[in-house]
This record gives sequence, C-alpha cells and structure tokens, in this order.
Amino acid sequence: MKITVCLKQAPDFDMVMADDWAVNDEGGLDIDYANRIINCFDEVALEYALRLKEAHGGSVQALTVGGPECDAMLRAALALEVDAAARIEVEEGADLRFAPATVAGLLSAAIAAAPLPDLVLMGRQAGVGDAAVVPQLCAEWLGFHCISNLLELTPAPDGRLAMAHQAPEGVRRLLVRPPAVATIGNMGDIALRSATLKARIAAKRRSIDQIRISAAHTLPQPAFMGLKNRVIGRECDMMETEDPREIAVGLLHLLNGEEANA
Amino acid sequence: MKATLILTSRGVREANACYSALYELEQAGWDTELWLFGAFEQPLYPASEALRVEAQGLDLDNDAERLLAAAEMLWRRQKPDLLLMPEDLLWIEVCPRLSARTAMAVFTGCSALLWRDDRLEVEKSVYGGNVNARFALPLPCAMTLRTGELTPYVPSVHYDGPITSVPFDAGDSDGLELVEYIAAEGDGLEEASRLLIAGQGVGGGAAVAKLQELAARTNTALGCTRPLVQNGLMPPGKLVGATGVTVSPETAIVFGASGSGPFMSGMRKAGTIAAINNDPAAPIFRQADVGAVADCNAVAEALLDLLDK
Repeated sequence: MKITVCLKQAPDFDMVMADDWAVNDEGGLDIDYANRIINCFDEVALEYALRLKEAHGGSVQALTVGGPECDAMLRAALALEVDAAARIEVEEGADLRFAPATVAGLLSAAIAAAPLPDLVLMGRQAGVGDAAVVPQLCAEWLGFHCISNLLELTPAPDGRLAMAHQAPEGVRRLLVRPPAVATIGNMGDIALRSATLKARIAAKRRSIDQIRISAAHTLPQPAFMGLKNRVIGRECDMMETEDPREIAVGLLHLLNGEEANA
Repeated sequence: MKATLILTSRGVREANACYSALYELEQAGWDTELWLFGAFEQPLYPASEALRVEAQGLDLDNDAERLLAAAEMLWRRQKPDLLLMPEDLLWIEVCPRLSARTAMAVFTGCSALLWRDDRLEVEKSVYGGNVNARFALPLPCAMTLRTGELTPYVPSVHYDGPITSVPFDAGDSDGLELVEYIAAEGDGLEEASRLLIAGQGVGGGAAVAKLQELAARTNTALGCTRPLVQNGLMPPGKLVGATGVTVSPETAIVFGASGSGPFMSGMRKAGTIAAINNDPAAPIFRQADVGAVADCNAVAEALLDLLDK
C-alpha cells in the first residue's frame, strides 16, 4: 500500500504561559517562544501510516506545505523511516494562517502530480480551533473517497480497504476501493514512536524533495479581521482548606445542588 | 439575501442554538429557510420556507456520502447565500466537501455572527481555543455552527407553513460499500446534569477506575480530557472539549485537568464548575467557580469514604 501522510507543524500550545494568551496592543500574540511540533492528530496519522507499512508492506511519504522551517519536522519523519519526504514550497513571507483552501489546493495539486497513492492520511485538523477542512477539500479535488475519523484499516483480499470509522452515533465498517483520503481524529492509544540517535543522524543525510507547484483549485476565503480575548466570565472561589476530606464534603454539597462551603 | 439552516433529528437545544443565527440575520433583513433531513420533530423556526428531504431507508444521521449528495441537490435548487449547519462529526465533513463541489466559501466553528455594513462578520475560537478570531465572510458560504457556544434562541412562534417534500434518490456510492454499522450506546454526556471530568493529572488506570466508581455511586456521568483518550484510559466518546462533546451540566467537578483552551471550549455552557488540582497556578482556577488545591486522587478517595458512611 502506497501511503502519503500530510503533516503540519504547529506551536506547542502547552508551552504557552496562561498570561500570554492575552492579545497584545498590535492585535497579535506573543507566543513565538513555543516550540514548533508535529500537531497531535498528524502525529497519530504518521504513526498509523508506519504501522500499516510494517503490517502490510508498501511505502510512506511525508508531505507538508511551507518554508525551510518545516524541514526539521520532515527530518524527524525521515528518522522514523518514512520512505520519502517532500515539502511544497510557498513564497517567502506567505501567510498560510486561516487559509485552508490554499493549503488544500497545494496539497491536492502535489499529490495529483505524482503517481497516486492508495491512501492519504491526515490529522482531522492541525489543532483545535483550526478549520478541519483540508482533508475533505483534498479528497474532493483529487476525486478520492473521503473517510473521516478512521479507527481501523486493513487491506481486503480483493484490493479494497476495510475501514472502520467513527460516525456521530456509532461505528461504520466500510469496504473502500482506493484511492482514499482518511482523517485521523481521536483514535486512542496510539503515540508516535521515537527515533534512535543513529536513525536521526542518518536522516540528516537524506534529501527532502522540494516541490514547486500551483494550486489547481481554491475557494474564496474568509478575510481575517483580528484576534480578541476570550471572555471567561467566571470568578473562582478557592476553598480555604487543602484537607481532602473537607474538600470532599464541599464537593458532595455541590453535587447535591448546595453551596460548596455549606 | 437568504440564509438556510439544515436541521437533522438531533435535540431541541442544538436547534435553538442554530435558530439564534437565523434570528440574527432575519433581524438584519435576510430571508430564512429550513432544510429538514430525516424525521425532525422539534418546533421549527418561523422561516419563510421549509423543505424536507424524503430519503426512505437511508441513515441520514450517519452517512456523510448521502447527506452530501442530498445537500448538493438542494443547494443547486435553492441557491442560498449562506448555508448553516450544526457542527458535529458528520456536518464537519459534509460542509467543506459541499463547498468544494459548489465553489462557495467554507467556514467552520462559528461561535457568533453579525451582519454589519452589508458584510457578514463571524467569530470562532482559534489557537487551541485560547483566543477568538473575527473574519469577514465572502458569500455564498457554507458554515458550521458550534452550537455549544451560541446562545440559544427560543422562537415565540413556530413555523406553521407547508413543508415542501423533496424526493431524493441516493443511488449507490461507487466504490464504497457499507458492511456493518455498530450503534454506540449513548454515554449521556451531553444531557448529563451532573458531571465528573478526569484530567491528565489523575494519573493512570487505577485512578480512572476510582472516578468511574465515584461516578456510578453518585449517579453522575464521567467525561475526560484528551490525554486520557490518547493514552487509551477512556474511550473517545467520553472526550469533552472542542474535538469531543460540548456539555452543559448544572454541576461539573473537574479532577486534575489543567484547563486548556480545547477542553474549556466544551465546558462553556456548564453551570457550576468545581476544579481540583494540586498546582495552584493551573489555568483551570481562572475558569472555574469553585477551586481546591489538593491531590485529586486523595479527594476522590475521601468522596468514596464519605459515601461509605
């Protein structure tokens, strides 16, 4: 099975201090210090792609959109022994924030320009609050089947893919004739493996393909107008005790619809 | 201008949240329209027109392919300027695919909208749910609504006009065969009036088991944050937050969660939130109503002891 896994770097929001989520005077955020990491959904997609290759053979290509700052992420994927890594070049200074149709247009054009994969795996979104539309737009523009929130995949004897995916009220098991785009959501109990030091050193010597391509499709995109602080609207009444039993008494009061400190 | 709302057979609370968007636009002079998918029995918003897709035997609540085909058929017939749909696992897939097929703009996760100066302005959570962003939308546009973040609007009068029946022949999905559908048992998180939440700080399986026992003995639902799902300690259906369930309990007790934006965006409609965390600087304490700095496992044990007595 030939698999393309699409990856996106995102800031590690867990590193951001709570106070730094306040919008600054210029209307932006001072969070540049946060490390750039493979987002959590794409991490699982990459791990699942590697497991599929180990179990059933084939190849895995890692693909991203962005500038040279994405190369560290692709090298990390190469160290995990993906077969190839490619980066779709964008113009220097191009702002891809809030531009999912542009990203989907570039990804689908690059995938269509190469020998087609059987399966494209993508995280359902790069981060919470992101648009969560890139996989679906890619599937439509490539003419691939689209399976959202994949839970399991095995090749069937007739060349189709047996896939289980999460639906709103249950799990659907499908037989899908490839090619297909599948999104990875909350798959559960799958964490990205770590590369050995030897593999990381070897990855530094491997090449990253640079793709220059124009999007064949796009959509009118929403115009970004600015950020605003979240309104929380709660004020926390801290219990004055740290004694678990006294806290438990207060919580039981709360569960019974009474004041916690009654 | 015409705004159309797609309604499925989900609950009245979700419908009322969607109605708030229609009401906002109607006040600004827009026409409104409803498309009903499946047996929608809730009171209807008093729109100008209502249509119902007749698709006997199809699982329109779970089958994105058929929903997409039906929505595309209706869009080509009715051509609304703005197509609204409630955001869930199904419509978050259908919305962008419909946009790709019809070349209209797409916007997901809308938590507020406003028609001002002949421009549609919308808002959504971004950066992991930690801040909001505002956008001006091009039209036509397909958009999903985060119903847990919209203030519900309950119409004083309801639609009583004719509902136009639109036959829909789904046909076969070429190359895609449904083999089995396994309905999930309802976990009751969305409807729960009392809720316990397990966060990463509770630790491993033994601590989760303790909270499960506590939930069972207090007749309270148990949800969790994302790390517990990722670590296989809780099933995905128990996830509360932006990529899981939006809850609205009267009382929620949160054990060992930091209070990340994604999690809290699923908690905004909760009544009283009590948080237990051993880190006094945890962001959860800025977003809860009652807080206690303590080891959450010790508190869970103390709760079980109290129930024993």
